[in-house]
Amino acid sequence: MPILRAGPWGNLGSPHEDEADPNESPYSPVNCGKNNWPNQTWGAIATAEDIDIEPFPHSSVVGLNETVTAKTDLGGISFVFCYQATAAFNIEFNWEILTPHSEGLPGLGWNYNTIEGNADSDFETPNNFGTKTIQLPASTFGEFSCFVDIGSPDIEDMEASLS
Amino acid sequence: MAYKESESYKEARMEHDYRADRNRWAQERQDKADTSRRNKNESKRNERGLERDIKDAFKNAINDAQSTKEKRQLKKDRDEAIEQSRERYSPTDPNTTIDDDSIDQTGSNPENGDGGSSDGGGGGGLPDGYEEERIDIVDALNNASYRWFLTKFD
Repeated sequence: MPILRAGPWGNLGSPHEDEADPNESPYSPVNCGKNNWPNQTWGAIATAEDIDIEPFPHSSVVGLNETVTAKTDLGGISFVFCYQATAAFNIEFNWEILTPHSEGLPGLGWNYNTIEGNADSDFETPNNFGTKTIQLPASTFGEFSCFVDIGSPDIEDMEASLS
Repeated sequence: MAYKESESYKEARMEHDYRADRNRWAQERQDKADTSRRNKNESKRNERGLERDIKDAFKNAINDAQSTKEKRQLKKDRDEAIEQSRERYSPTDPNTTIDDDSIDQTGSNPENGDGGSSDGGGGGGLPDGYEEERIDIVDALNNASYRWFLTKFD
């Protein structure tokens, strides 16, 4: 059965919100699975800590396969987006710590929640680079987020993307 | 006492009855053909009226289009709407008639989703207070698509 479009932005508590400044809005783009809407390209809000960029951390809307960089010692990169889907689909979370330090462990986590009450999450200590494939269930409205971060005594470079 | 008819009279009566039946059957066939023709004519009128509405809406929208991409999308929407209207009035199921369909499409602007007018030559029309709106949906393959809905303010 088709699903009526929500969005263009929203979250689980409010699925119909206008597009807004990603640095201030509590909402994120609502996507059609992994596809574009006719008047809205697929997007997620990426938030990264980069000591050279203000505000710190800073947020922006990114598409699939768009790499986000960070320069931080105790932070990282996160993504959040909402989706609607009549069938389950996979999202890939790619990351790489470019200048790994011998001390301090990185962290990686993801979670999703749907308006129907489905939820799942995971947390692990990842390798310095890799890809995590997460299957998101069909939902009239779901919200997904993921992050990778470090806990290092030094500033490290890292990057991440969704695909 | 039972009436007893002669063989010749009986034959004459049967011949009369047969002719009467044949005439009645012929009349019924004619009536069905007339009804079918009227329905087809009405269907054709509705189809033409709907296509005219769609083309009018397209002309209005194309004048407001800001880009080639937008114009291409409008043209695509117009062609799809016309195709749907033809399918709507050319049912493949011979048992389907116009009366079987409760809601008509109108010449609403396919780009902005505004409600369309039910008058202006089209047949059928919309229920009082309702208007058609094009609303985005996620289809069965997770693709972005759209459907036409009848909507009404409280």
